[in-house]
Amino acid sequence: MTTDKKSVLDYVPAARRDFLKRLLAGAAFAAPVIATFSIDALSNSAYAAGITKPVNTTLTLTAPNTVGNQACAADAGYDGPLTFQAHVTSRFTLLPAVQAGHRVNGEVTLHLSAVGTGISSVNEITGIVSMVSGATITGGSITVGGRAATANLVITGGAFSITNANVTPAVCDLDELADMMASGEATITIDGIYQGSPYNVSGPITGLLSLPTV
Amino acid sequence: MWTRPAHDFVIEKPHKVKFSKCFSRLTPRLVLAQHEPLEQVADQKPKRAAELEVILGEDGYIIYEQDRDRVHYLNAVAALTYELCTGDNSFAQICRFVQEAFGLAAPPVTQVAEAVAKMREEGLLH
Repeated sequence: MTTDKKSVLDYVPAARRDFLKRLLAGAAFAAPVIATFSIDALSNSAYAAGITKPVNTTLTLTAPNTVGNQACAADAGYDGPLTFQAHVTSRFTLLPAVQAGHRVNGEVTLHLSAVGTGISSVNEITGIVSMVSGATITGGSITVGGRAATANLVITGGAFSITNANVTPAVCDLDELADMMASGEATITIDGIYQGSPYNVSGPITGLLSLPTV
Repeated sequence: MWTRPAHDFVIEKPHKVKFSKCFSRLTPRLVLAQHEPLEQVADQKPKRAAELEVILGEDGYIIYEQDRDRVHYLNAVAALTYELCTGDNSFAQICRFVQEAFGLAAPPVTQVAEAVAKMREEGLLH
């Protein structure tokens, strides 16, 4: 914990200061995630997901990373591509101010590790980010339907790993995230620094179908 | 056949807007999200909404709005941003605090702007 973090923590209410201090100590900078959902929607899957809503209506969250914002049916596993790719770049727009910004781009390759035969279950998604020369990477995230599907994604040396611990309430689990990726509904965003200022690039994730063995 | 919309933008010389160094790299997304001039947003001092129940989750905050029957999940960066919105810190100061907390080379203006805009939209900030 640096001196800077201590001074920043002075703004945090005492009751939450130690918690946030521990949270920040182990966290790299990533895109802020704010996921909102209704209690009614949660109620449909609350017990399966680990949420209980006691009589006094105080929410108790026992497993925040695996809580879905939708009714999560019984996990049917995943059947689809195991390798994905995304080209990340600045959003194209005719707004002059955007075009004056960095023109940074790169490639992200993702690979699913699955267990089981036939219909399998995804237990890890690994990725490699390759950006144009001179662009450093500070973080990234995957979004589904405009909502963050990953949290606390740490990219080290251009590589990252997503497990069920990194999945936000926007999706049920890694199987669901993989399904969204295979359906072309997932977008990956990479944050970083180029020439001393931040950049933010993104692109749709597309599956690479493997040819059948003959 | 695609027809060029009448209201389409025209590429022209980029606007030169004079504001603080922290704000100089702000992307238009903040402006589009908040519909306010850059200078006004830079000086704004967002404040946490009162009477919200903050639950400490495994890797972030869970904020429960009993009245609206809604729950919000904030990761570490969003939680820090939320805490810095005391009503005393300007947006530029919040950017600088987040930069210092994570040892970034530059203030994460875009990310903080999106977080503040989203939290305002959700009623977590005034």
